[in-house]
Amino acid sequence: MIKRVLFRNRLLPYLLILPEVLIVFVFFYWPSAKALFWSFTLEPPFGGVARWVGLDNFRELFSSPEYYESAGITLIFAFWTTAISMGLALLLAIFVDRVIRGLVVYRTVLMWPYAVAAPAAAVAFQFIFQPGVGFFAFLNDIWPGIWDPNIVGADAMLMVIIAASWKSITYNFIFFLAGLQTIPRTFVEAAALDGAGPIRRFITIVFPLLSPTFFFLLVINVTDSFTEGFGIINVMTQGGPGGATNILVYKIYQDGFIGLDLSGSSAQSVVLMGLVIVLTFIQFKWIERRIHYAE
Amino acid sequence: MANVSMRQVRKSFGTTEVIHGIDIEIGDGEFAVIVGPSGCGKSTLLRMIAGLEAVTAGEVAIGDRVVNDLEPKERDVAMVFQNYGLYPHMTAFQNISYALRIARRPKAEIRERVERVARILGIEDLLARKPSQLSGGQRQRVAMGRAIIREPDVFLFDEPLSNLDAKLRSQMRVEIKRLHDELKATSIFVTHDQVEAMTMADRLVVMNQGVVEQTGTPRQIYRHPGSTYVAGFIGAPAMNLLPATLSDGGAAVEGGGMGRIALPNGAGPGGSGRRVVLGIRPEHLAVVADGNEGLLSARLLYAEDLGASRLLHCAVGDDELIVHTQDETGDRPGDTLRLAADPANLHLFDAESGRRLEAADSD
Repeated sequence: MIKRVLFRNRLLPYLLILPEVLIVFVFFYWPSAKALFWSFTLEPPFGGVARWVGLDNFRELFSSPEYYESAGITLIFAFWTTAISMGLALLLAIFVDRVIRGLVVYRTVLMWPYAVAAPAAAVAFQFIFQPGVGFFAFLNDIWPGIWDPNIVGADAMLMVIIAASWKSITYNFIFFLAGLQTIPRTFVEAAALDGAGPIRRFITIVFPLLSPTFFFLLVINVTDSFTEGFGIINVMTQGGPGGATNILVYKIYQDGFIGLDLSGSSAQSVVLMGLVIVLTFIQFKWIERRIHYAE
Repeated sequence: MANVSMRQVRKSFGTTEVIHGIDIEIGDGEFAVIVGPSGCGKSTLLRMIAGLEAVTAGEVAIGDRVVNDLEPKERDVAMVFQNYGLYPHMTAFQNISYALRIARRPKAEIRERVERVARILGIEDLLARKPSQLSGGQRQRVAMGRAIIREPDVFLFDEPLSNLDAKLRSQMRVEIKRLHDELKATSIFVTHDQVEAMTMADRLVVMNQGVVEQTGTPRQIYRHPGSTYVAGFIGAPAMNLLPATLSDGGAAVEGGGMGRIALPNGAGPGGSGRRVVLGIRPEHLAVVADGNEGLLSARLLYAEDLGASRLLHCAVGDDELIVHTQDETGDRPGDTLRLAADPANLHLFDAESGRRLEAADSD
């Protein structure tokens, strides 16, 4: 049933949605439009009149090997962050879902990381991963020089992936747990009587019923890992060593705010925006059709 | 096929014991109905047989195997759930064939067996549909199909008809019974509906607050309820239960507004002064013309017309009773009626324990 509200005053409904529209406009559409405009101009870094250059910014972007490298790094970062955080979150949610006593405690404890700001988490992880004094220093005791994210690109990447995954596990966990708890026990019990063991039950019954949650989280996580890795990378690696963790959002920041190439970074923003839109579209097109939504 | 026995079965959730030592013996091929109000532990008992709840103490055996520690799938039981429990993302065909697919039976065999089951249940045309596209009765049939296809030793039904409307319920009642006659597998059917209990059971088990009140055929239980609880639970409208006292050395009862009633064989259980409960079924009471001896006199409060018969709600002293009669009388509320009953149809219960008292029982 659709709820309809009738307003006598014609102006009132518009006034009511105005604040929301204003916020969306000022903080989303306006900057996006501005970035789109800038990406077609050459914006002088210290003020002055912008010059229209058409597609030059994009041409330059797509002929830059650094940009492709950064895009590749972003894909690796996005894939592993999404896979690890969703995988572990699902595993934890399955465990917590089976807990009968102390459920509230587990749930609360597992939610805490979500309240930790990304830079704070990044600082903590930087300590943990310090090659000399950190938690991982024991690796260097056993095999000297095997672990050093300050120098080795792969180590740095692993470090930021772990930190970023840790940060988003919580969010995924909450949704997975809520999703699991809406699945009536009857289905699982019926499957148990039908002879399916725990793993078959999960694959054939639980996971398909959880798929709307899974799909939602997949879209959110992929989008997030393209755009939200900034806080962690800015604190931990600043895109280094040697650009090994220079993901697209961080490159936008570096080129635009450090390098003051406002137009070039605007063009990158537009491309990133397009990339996220395309990825989301692909997910909806190819994955959503396999999903069973509860009627 | 197998018999099912429960020996001193107990179940506790934490420190709360909900089933207090139950003994039930269900024969091979029998259709047993466990009936009781909600919260009496009947579903828990069924789930213990299925293996969905652990048995706290005692033994559950299917055939000659004690199954306490077996997984549900190792017990060879199939269950029809109250809300059907059909997998919502699968078609009826996939639902019914799930167990066979899990057991990795050949495709051709699966198809053939599903089709045979669908034919038995009359759902051949519905196999491609998902549960959301089926009506309540159709879902019920698919759920039955999912149980039948496995050809289990024991069928368990957990209030399977309670989500259906009245008409469909009586139709499915007959169908389940007919299926049982065909398949002859041991079946245990849990319900809170005493009509289902009476009509379907070969053996009826009446439960109350975690204990078995009485076991027997529906007829035995209707004729000789073992306690006031059973008397009030089985039969609709419920048996009239009136407080009374034995008199004449146990040869009669007296109470509130009913005067003295002689007991059939002239010797009640125990001596004068014992407090008892007198039970008379509404359908065993008849209105007799003035001047007749009758059993007791009652004031008519109001009458419910059921078409084929009427329910007369009457006051006897401070108590109320119901008369279920097919006679047309012109009585109006406020009139005094003389009521009669065959003394053979009187039941006596102990006022304190609620247990049935037999005439020979001199305790």
